[in-house]
Amino acid sequence: MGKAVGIDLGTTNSVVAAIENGQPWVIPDEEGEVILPSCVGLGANGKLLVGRDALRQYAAAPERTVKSIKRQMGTDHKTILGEREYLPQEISAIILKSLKQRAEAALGEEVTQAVITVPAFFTDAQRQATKEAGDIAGFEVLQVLNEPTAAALTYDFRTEDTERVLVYDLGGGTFDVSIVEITGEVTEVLASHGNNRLGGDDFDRRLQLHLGDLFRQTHKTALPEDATIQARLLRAAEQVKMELSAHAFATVREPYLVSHGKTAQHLEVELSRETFEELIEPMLKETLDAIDRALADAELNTADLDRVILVGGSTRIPLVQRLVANHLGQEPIDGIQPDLCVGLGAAIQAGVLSGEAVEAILVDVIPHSLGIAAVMDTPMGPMPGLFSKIIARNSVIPVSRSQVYFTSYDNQETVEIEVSQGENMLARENVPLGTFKIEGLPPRPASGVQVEVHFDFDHNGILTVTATEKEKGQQQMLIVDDAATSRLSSHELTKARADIESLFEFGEDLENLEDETEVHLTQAELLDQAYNLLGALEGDVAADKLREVLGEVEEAMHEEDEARITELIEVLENLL
Amino acid sequence: MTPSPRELVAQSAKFRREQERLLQDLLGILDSLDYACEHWQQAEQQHTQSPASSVPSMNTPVVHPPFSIFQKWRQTIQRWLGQHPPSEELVSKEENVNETESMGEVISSAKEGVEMMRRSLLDVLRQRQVVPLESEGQVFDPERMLALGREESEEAEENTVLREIVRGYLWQNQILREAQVMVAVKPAAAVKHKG
Repeated sequence: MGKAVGIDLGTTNSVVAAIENGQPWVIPDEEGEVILPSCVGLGANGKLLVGRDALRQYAAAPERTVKSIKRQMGTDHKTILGEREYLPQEISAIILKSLKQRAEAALGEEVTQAVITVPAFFTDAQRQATKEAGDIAGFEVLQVLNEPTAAALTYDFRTEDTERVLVYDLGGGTFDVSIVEITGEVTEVLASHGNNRLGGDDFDRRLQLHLGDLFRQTHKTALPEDATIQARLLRAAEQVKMELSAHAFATVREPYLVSHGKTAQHLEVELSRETFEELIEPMLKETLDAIDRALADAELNTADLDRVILVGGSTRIPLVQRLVANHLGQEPIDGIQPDLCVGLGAAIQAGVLSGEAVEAILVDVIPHSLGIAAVMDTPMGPMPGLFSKIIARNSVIPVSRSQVYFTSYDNQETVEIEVSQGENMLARENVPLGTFKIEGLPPRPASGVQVEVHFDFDHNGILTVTATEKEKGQQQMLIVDDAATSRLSSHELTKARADIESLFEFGEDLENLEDETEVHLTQAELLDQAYNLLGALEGDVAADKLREVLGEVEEAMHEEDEARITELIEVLENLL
Repeated sequence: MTPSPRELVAQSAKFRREQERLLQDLLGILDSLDYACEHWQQAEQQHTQSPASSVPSMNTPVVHPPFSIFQKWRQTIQRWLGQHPPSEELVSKEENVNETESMGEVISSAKEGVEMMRRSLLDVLRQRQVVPLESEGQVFDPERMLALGREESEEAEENTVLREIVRGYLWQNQILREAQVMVAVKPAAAVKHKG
């Protein structure tokens, strides 16, 4: 029997994933590209084109290129390609077949079974068509799975409790929000709403227009109608959008954008994240309305939601996360690459159904929030020494975030950046990681100088803090390489947190708790003594015996076998 | 232990992606140099064709002329442009010719300098097997080119590249950046399609 895969068959993009060593992973093509545009076409020579190649010819040959076929699923819409008419499921089958080949090439074995995802709002006819598409592509379709369910599976895999999950999915060109109720293996879709013409591409175009406006403001002349100029601005917009997810400012430089005879006009502007957010906020408001409609349909309040999951590449934008969090009153979960998590969830389900051992996804997360001390506005007025969070706990590594701060009094010359980690509102109650200063600020009234503080936490657990004074561009840096005191998977973390909480409930009996601590203390002392002795005895026969017992003690401690520890401690005491 | 397919794929993809990112950043600078070269070539052409032909450019709102000599030269032209009696024309013209010559030198030297930088960067990229992709006049190739749209043309063959909007590049014979192009279509065919 061949391998089983999970497939996210999307409107704009598709993804194939499989399980290896218990972990799902997205399979890239030969060029390392993980996403396949859901586009099919025939070249001028009659050659079949799937994915990026088909998409590239769309504007030149729309009559022999098909995109967004997903919107036609379940209808008898006919697409003519070359000599033949195709049903929507046949076009989808071409995309699925291409993903099948990609998976087989990477895995080096036959792929025969698949779980394919569909939107929660798909009708039976649409689901049936999707299954048929899988059959035509040569798959045994194990299940047609709801996209929000797949996303939820990626984050929590098989809980027995009933959970109500809201999945907010904002991709490149489509948006939908679904509320699902998950109980073990059973998922019920309570409500679903959306707008299939809203996504990240709209943000790019909005930004492109804004760059044109900025050009007009600088040069007092409108941009000429020119394909090259617009292509340059669109590319600049795409880049700036991504940069502003991690930075508070980004610079666009387009030299020689317009050429008038002997003079040229350049565009060099700095965009702030704030400006970008103002531009896209009206569009995002619409998504919040959709959330409300979905909640109303499901007859639920925000408080009834156990979890909120963000899906789709555009949810990487910090404003999206913030708006959703404020609207629903809880922090959404977004750890796993949002554009791949539906595909990964489908792979998990495929693994489970085909009897493979599947584990929860391991992601490295930051166990404690990271931030700096700052004066912050409170209902009682501005308060110094408060902890301003820059990277929230549970963020997936690597992560980059930044915030802009202002001077707090007139002619302030120095700012001190005190970096710490923890969850306390008071900065001094958290674990200090380091301090540095920026000196010689230009004399300005209070709030007149901006300082951007950028946190970068990398794969190796190294935190780099950079502070930049905006006006003169002065920069100072601090590198902390032990910020990750512990790294847990998001699941271990949830579990650890729950364990500790139950311990607290349990530990109401203070006396008992103290007793326990004392026991551990004497044990620790004894162990210390033993290790010291071991050092002194190096080479002696007794050392071997001692080492053996110590090994056993450690093992018992690891397994939390209290009885065995006490027993071994006794042996140790005798030995010493 | 031999690495699993997943690890192998991840390793090679990561290495390639890092290199690719650097090369793509360099392409951004190469683009700027291309635009600069194009601009200076145009400026030079206009200048040598006839100094008077640049008169319309005065109507376009130019903000910062790069050289003060240019400004001075423009004032000269303005003076020369009928605001003065014809008797003075000869003198102004002579003055104008001198300034035109030095203006021409400024333009040519700027052009040569920028072109030199562009060649250096092209050489650096070529040593790393990054080469520009020929597109104009070629048959549209969806594996290497992105169509931005199509334009009617009587002369050009259908489905060939009429204009290149953004230059594409190959890296070790694989696509590093696709070319963005306008594709030719026969006027009749376009009408038929619209109908």
